[in-house]
Amino acid sequence: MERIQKIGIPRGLMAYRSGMLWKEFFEGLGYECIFSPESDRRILEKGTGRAIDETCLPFKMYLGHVMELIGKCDTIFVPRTGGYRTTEKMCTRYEALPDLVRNIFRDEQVNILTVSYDWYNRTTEEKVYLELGLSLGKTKKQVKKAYSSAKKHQETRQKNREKAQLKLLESEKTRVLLAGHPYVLHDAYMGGELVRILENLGAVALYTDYVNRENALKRSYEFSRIMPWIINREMTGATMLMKKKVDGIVIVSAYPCGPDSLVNDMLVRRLKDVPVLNLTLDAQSGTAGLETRMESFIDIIRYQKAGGYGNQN
Amino acid sequence: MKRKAYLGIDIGSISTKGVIIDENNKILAECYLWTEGNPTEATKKVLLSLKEQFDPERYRIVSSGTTGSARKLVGSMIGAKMVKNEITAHAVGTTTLHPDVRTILEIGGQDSKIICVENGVAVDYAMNTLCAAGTGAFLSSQAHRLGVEVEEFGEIALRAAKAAPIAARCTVFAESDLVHKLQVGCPKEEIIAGLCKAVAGNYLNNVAKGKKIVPPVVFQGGVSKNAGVVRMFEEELGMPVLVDENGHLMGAFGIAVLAKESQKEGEFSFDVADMEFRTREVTCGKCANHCEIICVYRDGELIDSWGNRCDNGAIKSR
Repeated sequence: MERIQKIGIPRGLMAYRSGMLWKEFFEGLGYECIFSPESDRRILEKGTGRAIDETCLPFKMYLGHVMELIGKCDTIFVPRTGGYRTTEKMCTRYEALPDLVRNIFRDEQVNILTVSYDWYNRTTEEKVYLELGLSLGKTKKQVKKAYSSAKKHQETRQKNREKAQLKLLESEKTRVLLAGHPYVLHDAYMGGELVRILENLGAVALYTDYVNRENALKRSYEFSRIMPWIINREMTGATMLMKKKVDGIVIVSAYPCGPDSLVNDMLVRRLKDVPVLNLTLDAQSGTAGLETRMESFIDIIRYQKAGGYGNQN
Repeated sequence: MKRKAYLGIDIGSISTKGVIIDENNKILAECYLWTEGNPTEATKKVLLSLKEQFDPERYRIVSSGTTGSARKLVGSMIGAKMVKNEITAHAVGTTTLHPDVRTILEIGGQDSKIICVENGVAVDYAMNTLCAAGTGAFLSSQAHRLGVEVEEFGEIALRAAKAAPIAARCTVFAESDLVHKLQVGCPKEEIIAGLCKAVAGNYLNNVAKGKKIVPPVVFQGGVSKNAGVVRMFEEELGMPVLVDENGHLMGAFGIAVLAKESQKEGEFSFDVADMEFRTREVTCGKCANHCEIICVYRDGELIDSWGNRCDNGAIKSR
């Protein structure tokens, strides 16, 4: 590869799960690494302008983030992530991500740095990073060191999040679990709005991806033996683990998500004895509809706890 | 000493409703009219009508509440003590009058909802999403096409021997279905009965999807005045469906009850009906989100604003 100094990471999709791992890995190899800025309406509009109509909101957002990085770095990191097992795959957009980005931005001739892994290759995360590092011309030793250090930090970060979330469970406020894909929940424009609404209502938000991943994954096999998507596994498993510990669950999906449309319906049926709200986010800029839905939901939780509306005495 | 009274206003996208109740939840005054895209004007008209029915010698309004899609706007306009979403308002209104209700079906002008109730409190709800198929607005536009008044729909539907099959999943499909049925000479009353059936079917398959409908069932909202839809619901559900004579006022009634229960009292004056209210939409330029901020002015003075996603866009009233 020709001289790469600065690597850009679009702040979308799996960056909300592995972004910091990528960044520290590349930095460990001696590169400068930048993220695109936090999502906002302009980034979404830019991405929407380049996407086909039928694709999902997070993917449109991702394209906007790619555009933010064009001209600001030497290469943009767009991995092809298939998954490591047949029952722990990613959705097709991830499997096709570098091809989609390369073709959509053909005119701009974006330089893409990629690595590819798929469940039928029987590979491991470490091997994937090794391949990526070697492709950049680094030695095996350098790559292994960069990976293990970045991985260790990622694990610590995750542990801290899990701990902080366990503390939140002791909160006196109304505790609402947001169940969804990390790149929807933590995106400033999509999930960020929900969190803001919840806080204005005096509630606290908890997240399914701040639950221990291994435990969640394990629990998900009780939920479904054959469900193929890892993100939905972690989300459903975490929801099942948390359902008795929170006051209510909001299942958040970004329109139109294929896996969610199948899984969330099933999830709602499995959640008994806890208030559940099924919420689909779309590109509408107004937030009035969301506020009404969230406020109604919080009311249900609170008046139930209070034992009534006070209108039947 | 004057007795206490409470005002509730429900401002929907199609209609605006207002009631005044006494301490025993008895309705002292009521009004129902079209919003016509102008919630502040509609509220003023509602207030004027309520004022005429109201006896200020015997009662005084000590608290007020607003609900419906323009609840914030009208709430700051009349200085409401209670501003709440329509789900809670409807649940409170209905459980006040029908304490044993288990399922509330609601079809309004542009939205529809289902509320599941246990022990007098809502436990679950669902609202229609983006699409307004199968709501009052849909029935109105089809009535227009058929050249009959939508108010006559129920009566005509009940006369039909059978209901013509019409797809109501989408308004566009329903319209082409309806045109087709007219072309092949299907009697008008069967088409109207078919539309009523389609509304009930669409509701049960979409809004009420996955919800357990347990009796007693109360049906309200503007469309509940359509006896044809009521009968189709009863046939589909195989259980009686109760329509309260004040079903169209339930949101306003509920929010009035909530204002009363809140025990937050504050002066209310009918004078607001004579003031000038103006709203202005400002696009915030402080960041790339370009939030649309709604500013409300009373006699030229800014009294409230909302719509900003972050504090940068906060517009402070003086």
